[in-house]
Amino acid sequence: MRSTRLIVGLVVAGLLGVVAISQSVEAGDIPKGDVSWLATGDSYSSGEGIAGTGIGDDVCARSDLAYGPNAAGLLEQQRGWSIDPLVFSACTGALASDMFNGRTRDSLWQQSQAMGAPASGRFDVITLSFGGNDLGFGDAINDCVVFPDGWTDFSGIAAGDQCDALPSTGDIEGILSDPSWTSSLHVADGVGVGTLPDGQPGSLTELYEYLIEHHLTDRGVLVVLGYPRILAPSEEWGAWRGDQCQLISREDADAIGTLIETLDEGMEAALRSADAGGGHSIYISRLDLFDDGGRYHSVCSANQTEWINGFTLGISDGSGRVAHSYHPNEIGHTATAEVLANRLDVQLRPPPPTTIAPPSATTTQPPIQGGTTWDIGESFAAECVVAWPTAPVYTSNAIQMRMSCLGVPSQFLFVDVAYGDPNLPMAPNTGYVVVRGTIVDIAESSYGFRTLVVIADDVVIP
Amino acid sequence: MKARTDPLAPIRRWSTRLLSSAWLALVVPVVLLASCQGTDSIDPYTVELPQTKADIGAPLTDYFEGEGGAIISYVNAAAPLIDESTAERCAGVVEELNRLGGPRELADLASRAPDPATTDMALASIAATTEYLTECVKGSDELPDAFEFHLVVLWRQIAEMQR
Repeated sequence: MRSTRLIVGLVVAGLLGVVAISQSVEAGDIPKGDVSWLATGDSYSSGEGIAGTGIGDDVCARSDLAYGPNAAGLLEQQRGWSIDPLVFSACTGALASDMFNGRTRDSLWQQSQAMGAPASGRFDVITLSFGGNDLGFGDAINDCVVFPDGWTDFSGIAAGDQCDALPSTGDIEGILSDPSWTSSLHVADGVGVGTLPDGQPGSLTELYEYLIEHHLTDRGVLVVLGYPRILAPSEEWGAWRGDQCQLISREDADAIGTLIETLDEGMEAALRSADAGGGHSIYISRLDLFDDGGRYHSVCSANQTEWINGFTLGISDGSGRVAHSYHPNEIGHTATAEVLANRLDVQLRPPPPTTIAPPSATTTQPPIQGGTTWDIGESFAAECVVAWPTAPVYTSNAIQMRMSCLGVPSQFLFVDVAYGDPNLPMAPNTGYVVVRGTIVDIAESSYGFRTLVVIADDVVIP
Repeated sequence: MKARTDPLAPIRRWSTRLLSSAWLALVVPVVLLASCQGTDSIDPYTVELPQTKADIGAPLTDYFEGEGGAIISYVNAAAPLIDESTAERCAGVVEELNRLGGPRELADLASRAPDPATTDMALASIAATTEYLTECVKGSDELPDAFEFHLVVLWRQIAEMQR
């Protein structure tokens, strides 16, 4: 047992060490030429929850630490991508209609053009999140939380008393699929704008369709990011919280969570429908990512690192922005950026030469079955690919790889694999391999990520 | 009568180290005489507090010895109301709390605590205290469960830092 632990420790140390090392990337495993990237969307894309945003002229509360520019930077610095232009037009408070029809300022598309969008208007990567503001989630949650100015200013408002303006499932269905559905914020602003250019009506599904058809290159991909659960389910709260957490009642917190689950499911279906199997879309569920298989990183979680801000008045960072509340913080954006970069690395990687990986080879592999409990001591078998941003590490008697594996539950971001053959011919374009072995440990990073550690008995390259 | 642990020992240690004699003068009688009100189902004096991560303990102690000291002063000022909650007493407490700053200033201090659980305890308590004081200065003599619950939980959390 001790020797196994020692090996695992060395494996983990080696893998962690390689993350910080600039990678040597061979030509052919990265997209050809410059990758153009539009990072747009609302506050959950701009970085509203990151300290320091929204001060002075930063009316859009943008941060380079937000998942979009963060992922782009990681791919450039550690994977060798060339990203140009990177247009970052995400803006706090944005409605879906603000993409092409700005209410009080230029539309996000107009801003993108001013920031150097390609003349063709087409990007290789578009990342975005829209819908939360259209549904009035921000205002609804703010209504749930009323904080007084003075010690006798409470006005009889208790936690949860005002939380009666949450969107309905009908609203969610409306924004996803009903072109005639109109956000209450449109009405409030007195502007009956539509989601598509020239004010034409359109649901989120149609907005996705439009972007895929008119604003992606041939190799382009639209990445839609969903919304995370803001507050952990109340059953996860400690009893010491009483009947509320972050000034929101148990009942309201669970109601908000249910709506986000519905929205997440609907957004993924809408994107799938819009792409119609064209291979130009990726949905990243921040609900699944932040839920982390039941180890919720939401506010009010039990002893987990929180990836979302709790209630804040924004005084500490000088922003004075209550809007920082209930938005992903820097860690949440970092976690999102790592997943995004990993998915894009796989999506935009050129296909491997057929001489190395005959197409028939993969189809003849037996079905892969993962372990049932994913616990230490369980056997492990899965199709895995070396994961960004790591590359294999070779010791005198082993190869160590950080991998993404099919079928592994989402709470494990990666699988660290050690295999006792340093001559295993892993190349950047190797693609998926079959890994069989034993789970010997579960590692956890300071961010709260968990990683399966596997000693492989067998690694089969198709 | 609810069963309760004796929170005096850690408070005494904390008080000796950090606080003026006013803390003992106010808090000790409060503890001894505190009524047995609370939430219907959870006793704030015995409810299990969240585990504090090993790497948070020292920063949290530093916090309460520094800017977070105002949170202790807030608890110190509000705690006597558990024992006596007349309109006059409440008005006096409001004056005392105003010297510490408004709810928003204290909430911001709370948000800087190095531990989200402590932040939330303080936020919940400040909100519940404000709700209570608003009614109390108008003459209501009803002590809300939420006021005592959140104040006692916060108070125990502070004391726990000295264990």
